[in-house]
Amino acid sequence: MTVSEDVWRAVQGNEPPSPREERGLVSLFGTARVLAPLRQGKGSLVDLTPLGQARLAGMLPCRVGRRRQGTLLVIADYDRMRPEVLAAQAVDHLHRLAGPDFGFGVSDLLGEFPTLTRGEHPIDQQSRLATEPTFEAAGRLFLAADPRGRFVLGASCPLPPVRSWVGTRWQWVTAVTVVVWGLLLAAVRRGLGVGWSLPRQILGLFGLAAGGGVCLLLGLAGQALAGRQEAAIRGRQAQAAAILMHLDDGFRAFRVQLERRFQRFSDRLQGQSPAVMARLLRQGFPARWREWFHVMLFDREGRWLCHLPPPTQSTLQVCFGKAFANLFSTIARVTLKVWDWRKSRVGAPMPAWLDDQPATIRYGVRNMLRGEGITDLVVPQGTMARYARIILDQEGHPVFLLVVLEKLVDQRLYFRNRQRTWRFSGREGGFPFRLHSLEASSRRARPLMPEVQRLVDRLSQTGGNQFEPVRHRGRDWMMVGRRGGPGGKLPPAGVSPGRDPGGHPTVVAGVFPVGGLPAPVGRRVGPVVHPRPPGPAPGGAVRSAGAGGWSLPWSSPADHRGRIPGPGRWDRCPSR
Amino acid sequence: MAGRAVPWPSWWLLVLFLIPWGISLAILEERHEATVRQRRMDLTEDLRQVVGHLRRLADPPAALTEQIERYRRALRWDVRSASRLARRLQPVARLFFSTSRDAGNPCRA
Repeated sequence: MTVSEDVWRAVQGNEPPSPREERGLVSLFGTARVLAPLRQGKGSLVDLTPLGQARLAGMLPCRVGRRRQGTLLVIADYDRMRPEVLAAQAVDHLHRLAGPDFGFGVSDLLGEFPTLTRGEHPIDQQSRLATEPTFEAAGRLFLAADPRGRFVLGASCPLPPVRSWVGTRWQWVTAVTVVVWGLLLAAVRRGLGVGWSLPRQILGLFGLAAGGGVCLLLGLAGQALAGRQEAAIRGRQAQAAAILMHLDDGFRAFRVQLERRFQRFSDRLQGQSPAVMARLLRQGFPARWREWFHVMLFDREGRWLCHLPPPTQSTLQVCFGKAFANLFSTIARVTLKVWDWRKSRVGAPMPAWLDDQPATIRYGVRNMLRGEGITDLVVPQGTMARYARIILDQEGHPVFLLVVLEKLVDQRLYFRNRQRTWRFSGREGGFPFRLHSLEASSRRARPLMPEVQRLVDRLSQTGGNQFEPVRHRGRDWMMVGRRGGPGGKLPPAGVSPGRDPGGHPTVVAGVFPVGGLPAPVGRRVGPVVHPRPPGPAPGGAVRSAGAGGWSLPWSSPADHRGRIPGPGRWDRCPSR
Repeated sequence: MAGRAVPWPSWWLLVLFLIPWGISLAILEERHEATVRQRRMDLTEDLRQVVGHLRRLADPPAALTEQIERYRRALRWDVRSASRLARRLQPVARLFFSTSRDAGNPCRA
């Protein structure tokens, strides 16, 4: 057993360290007191400076390749890093990234290292940064990054000069003024020459002046309205982005809600005979919902007690073919065996004999035992959500319940829930906003509008919010899209999971009109009111009723058809 | 040329006509100044962010954190660059990696 292994166990556990583990901690970190901060800061790097160690340490979860998960133990002595090298590397790195307009420099206040500059960043100005952290010189703005440290890091960029618009064009302005004034004067004189009466001259000049004034006012009003329109669109974009962010964040809570309903349902199976369990399962998952769930129940020998597959082939059956039944029977048997083994060994890792099993079984068992509740299950076809639980029957024998959520039903349900909410609140809010979920898989997505496809393409490459204007049925709309985030938010789905399993390409997208905003000369824009934040609709958007006193959250009496919105219905853009 | 003198109301109206012209020039000037001010503010903000990033990159703990983050990302996406980053981190950091399969049996990265 190596020192690192001792430390590993000490950090992973919760008990006080053994003397051997303590020695390991001291040999690696210099002190055993690091254990508490390391245990508290799992998943992040901890600065050990308060313990007198110029070190960063931490245990970080990470993935290797597509599927393997692991943990990284890092012990880094940052006092071994040479600050002058870091500063020079930072300047070089940013100079490459920032482009030619930006200049960088680093100088040593002790004078041991020569001043280094990159780009248009004069050395004398870099020296000036030591005493003056911000200044403007030679048409450039200079800023010092850390004026108190030993190394002064500076950066500069050119600033546009503040010049008068009229001042730079005074020749043109004077010429135009003189010419126009002369023309007017000539017109007046000619008007007099042709015998215009004084009232006509006055009328003409007043008309000219008034016309000029009105044109000027219209132009200014147009500019002001265009500015307001831009501001209103920016505001709506920000609000739409916030809505999508809330929507993304809310998925975790929805999954927990869904999980609790599954748990309540499976509580009812506890202590029942297998036949009753099977009957309850059939009642709980009526035919209209079979398409969305694949329900399996096994006894400890791996025998199938109940199997409710989707009417069409399930993803698992497609994935494993003829081996499906045997494979899941074995996984259930081994899962229950491991569960039995661990029952008497609380907190123990997996048994060693599990490693003798084939990889698929081993992986499946680990996944099934990862925790009761809804968890992701990665299969070659993509990532699916599954609910697994071990239940005791009337004789106290464990049975294994596995419900696989097909066709991203959890996400679809979540979106339907939210769509209801937003339909409701959209009428109240300052602007209508429609939500769509969008599976960006080219294989499954229906032919999309090119703008939507473009948005999806951009979203699959970037992480932030993306906007795309679209014109539909004579109106201008703005689409906003966001990819589902990692870490328990909207899980991976959609864009070719085989090629991008680690991504989280589920797209949530919204669309709101911009065409209704004022044209440059048109209606005034009203105040933009933030719509009601996402949440259960008043009166309960999610109503429960169903067989046996238990129901899935979506089986409301109002929706007996069991219709769940599919991937984005962009062919029907909402009308106002 | 001895033309007839222009009566005073015409002069006055000509002057009146010049007023919107002057106002429009003033407004154009104002808008130009506002645009330039905004651009300068944007550039200043950009430079502040660049400088903030520069400071983080040159700060040993922050730089180390960033490099370790890059190493973590590289482990997932590009193992070759991960080994390159690990070599770069070698003088200052000790890295131990364990997969979930062999938890408790870590190996030196």
